[in-house]
Amino acid sequence: MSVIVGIDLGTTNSLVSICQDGVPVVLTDKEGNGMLPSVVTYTKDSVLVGNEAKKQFLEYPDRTIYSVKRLFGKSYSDIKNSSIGLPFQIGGDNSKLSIRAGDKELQPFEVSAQVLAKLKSIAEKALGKPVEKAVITVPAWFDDTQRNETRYAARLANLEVVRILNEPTAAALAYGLDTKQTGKIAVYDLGGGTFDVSILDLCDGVFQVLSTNGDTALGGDDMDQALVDWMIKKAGPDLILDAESRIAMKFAAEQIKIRLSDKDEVEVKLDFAAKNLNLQTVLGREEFETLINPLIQRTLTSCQRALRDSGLELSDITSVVLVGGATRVPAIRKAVKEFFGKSPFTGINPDEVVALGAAVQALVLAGGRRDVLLLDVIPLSLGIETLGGAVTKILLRNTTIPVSATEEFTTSVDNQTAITVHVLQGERELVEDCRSLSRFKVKDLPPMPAGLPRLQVSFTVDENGVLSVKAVETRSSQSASVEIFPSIGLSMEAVDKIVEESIDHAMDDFELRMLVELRNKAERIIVATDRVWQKAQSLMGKEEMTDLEKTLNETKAALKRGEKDKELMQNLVDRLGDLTRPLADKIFTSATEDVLVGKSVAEI
Amino acid sequence: MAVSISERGALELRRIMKEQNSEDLFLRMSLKGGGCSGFNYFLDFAKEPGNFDLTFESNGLRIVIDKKSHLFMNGTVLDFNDGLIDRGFRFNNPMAKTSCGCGTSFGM
Repeated sequence: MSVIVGIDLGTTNSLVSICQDGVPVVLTDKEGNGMLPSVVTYTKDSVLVGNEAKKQFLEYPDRTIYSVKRLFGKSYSDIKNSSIGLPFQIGGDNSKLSIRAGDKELQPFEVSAQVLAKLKSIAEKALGKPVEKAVITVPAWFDDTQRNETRYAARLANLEVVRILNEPTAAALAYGLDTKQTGKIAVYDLGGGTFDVSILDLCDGVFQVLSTNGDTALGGDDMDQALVDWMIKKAGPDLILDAESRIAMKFAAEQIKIRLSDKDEVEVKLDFAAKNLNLQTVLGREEFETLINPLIQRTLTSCQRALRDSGLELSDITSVVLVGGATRVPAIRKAVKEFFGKSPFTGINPDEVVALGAAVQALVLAGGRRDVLLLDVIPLSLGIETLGGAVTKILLRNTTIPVSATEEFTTSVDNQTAITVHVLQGERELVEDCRSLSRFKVKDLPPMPAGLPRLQVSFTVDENGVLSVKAVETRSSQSASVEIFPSIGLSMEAVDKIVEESIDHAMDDFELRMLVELRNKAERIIVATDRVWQKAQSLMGKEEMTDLEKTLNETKAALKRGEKDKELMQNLVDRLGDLTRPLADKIFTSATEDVLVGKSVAEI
Repeated sequence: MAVSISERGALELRRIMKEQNSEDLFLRMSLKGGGCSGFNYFLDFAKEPGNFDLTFESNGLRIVIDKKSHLFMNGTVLDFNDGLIDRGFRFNNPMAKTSCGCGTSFGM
C-alpha cells in the first residue's frame, strides 16, 4: 500500500504528518523540527527552504519569499491597491500575478511547490520510503482557483493530491469528532497573522462547512504589536524608534506573551542604551489582557457573524475546537469558552492540530482503520503525584463521563509557599510508570507548618473527555487550574497495553507503593520527633530516650540508603510508633497542664 | 475464588439501587493507592464489564472487578454494618494484613 501523508500548507509554517499505528504524528527533520517556516530564498545558484531561508531574510530581503499563500488565486490588479505588506516585488496584470526574486520571476504556486517538496523530503527521510501522495489542507474559504493553485503546487513538487481538505475539518478530525456522527462544530483558528472561524455541520460522519468568517490581518502578531505599543508608551519620549529598536521590542513582546500564558506576571527588562530604551517594570496578566482585549473582541465579532451566517443558534453548537498558536493565551480560551458557553477542545498542540487531522484523513483514504477511543468512559485512571513519587488516583479507569471528584491533600514540609500539582495518567503506582499530562503550581501561599494547608484538588471530565484540574488551598483561597485532553495520542491498543502492564506489575507495584507509604510515615515521625526533642528530654526517662534515639538513627540510615526491604521498614515504623506513643501522651498532658495551671475551674 | 457480598450488604445495595433507579447495573469493586494504610477500597456502579474485568454473582447482585484489584481482593466479602455508629460498607479482605480504623483502606 502506498503511503499517504497529511500536509498543512500554512501561510507562516507548514507541517507534514502521518498515522502510525492509528495515531497521527508530525514528522520531523533530522534536527527534530516539525514546523517548517513557509519561506523560500532564491539565491543565485540555489533554493533554500524553511529555517535556512528564514536566516537569509536580512541578507536577501528581495530574494526571500514568504506568505505566498495570501497571493493564491489573486491577480496583480486584485492586490496592487491593498497594503498586503510584503517586501518583495510583485508584478503582473488583471489576469495574473508574479513575484520577482532576484532575476527570477515566479508564480505563487511555484514558491509553495518548493515548500511542499521540502516537506516531501522530510517525510521520506523520516519514513525511509518514497512518498508520492498527500492530503493537503486549505482554508475553508478558499475558492476553486485557490484550491487549483494548491494542486498545481503539489504537482510541481511531484505529489499527487488525494484530497484537498478544509483546515477546520482537519482540526475536527484530529479530535475524533467525526466518530460522534452528528454535531455542529465551531473551529476558532487564530494564527500568527490571520484569524478564521468556521461553523461545521457533521452529519452521518461527513463534515460540511456552513459558514466562515475572519480577518486576514489579525493574529498573534497583533498581540505582540499591542505589547510593543505599550512598551513605547512606557519607554518615554526619548526612545529612538527605528527598525532596530522595533525588532528588539517585538522579540521581547513575543517572549512576554508566551511567559504570561502560565505566569500571573512577568518582569519586563529592556536595556538598549543606544536607542534610549531602558525599561524595567512588571506586567501582570490582567494588564496584558486589557491590552489585547480589543483584538479578542474583534475575533468574537467574527464568531457572531459566522454563527449568524450559519443560521444556527449558540445553543446548537455541540463542540468548539481551538487552532493556532495564539490560542494558547489563557484570555482567548476564556473568551471563547464564555462566548460559546462550552469548554473548547485544547488537548492537541494547536500548531499541529490541522496537520494531524490531515493525517487522519489520509489514513481513512488509504483504507486504514483508525483506532478511536470511546469517550463515554475514562480510558485510563487520572491522578496526581503525592509524596515519595507515588501516584494517587482521583478518577479511576472505566468511570462513566461526565464525572467530577475532589480530594484533599496537604504539605509535608514547613513554610511551603507553593504547591506543585503534577497530573498523571495510567494504572501503575509510581510516577515514573505513568504518563505525565501537566504540571502547575498553586502559588503565593502564606507560610504554614507542614500538614496545615488544605489543598482541595478537583478533577472534572466533561462530556467531550476534556479534563479540568483545579486546586484550591482553602485557608488562603489561592488557586490554579489547567485543562487537558487526556485521550490524545492514545489508541485502544496503547490503552490495553498499559492496563496489561499494570496487571503484570501489580504485585511489585503494590510492594513499592507500600514501601513509599512506609518511608513517608517514617519521615513524618522523624520530623515530628525532632520538633519536640528538647521538650522530650524532661518528659521521658533516660533509657527511653536512648532507645528512641537509636531507633531514630537506624530509621534515618535506612531512609538514606533507600531501603527496599518492606518488612524492615515496617518493623522500624512500628518500633518508632511504640516508642513515640508515650512521648506524645506526655506532651499532650503537659500542654494541657500549661494551659490549665494557675487558673480556677471557673476560668476554664 | 471470588469476591462476594454478604446478605446484609446485598440488602443495602439493592435498597440504594432501587432508590437510584439503577437496578440493572453492576457493582464495581476496585482498589486505589492512597489512604491511611496504603490502599483504599472503592465502590461504584457500572453499566457493563470492560476488558480486563472479572464478573461474579453474589446474593442476586452482579459484581465487576478489574483483574488488578482482584489480585489483592480475592476472597473479599462486602458487608454492611447497620449499627448507629460506624454505619456503612465494610470490606472483609482475607488478604489484608493491616487495616485502618475506618475499614475502607488496608495494607498487606
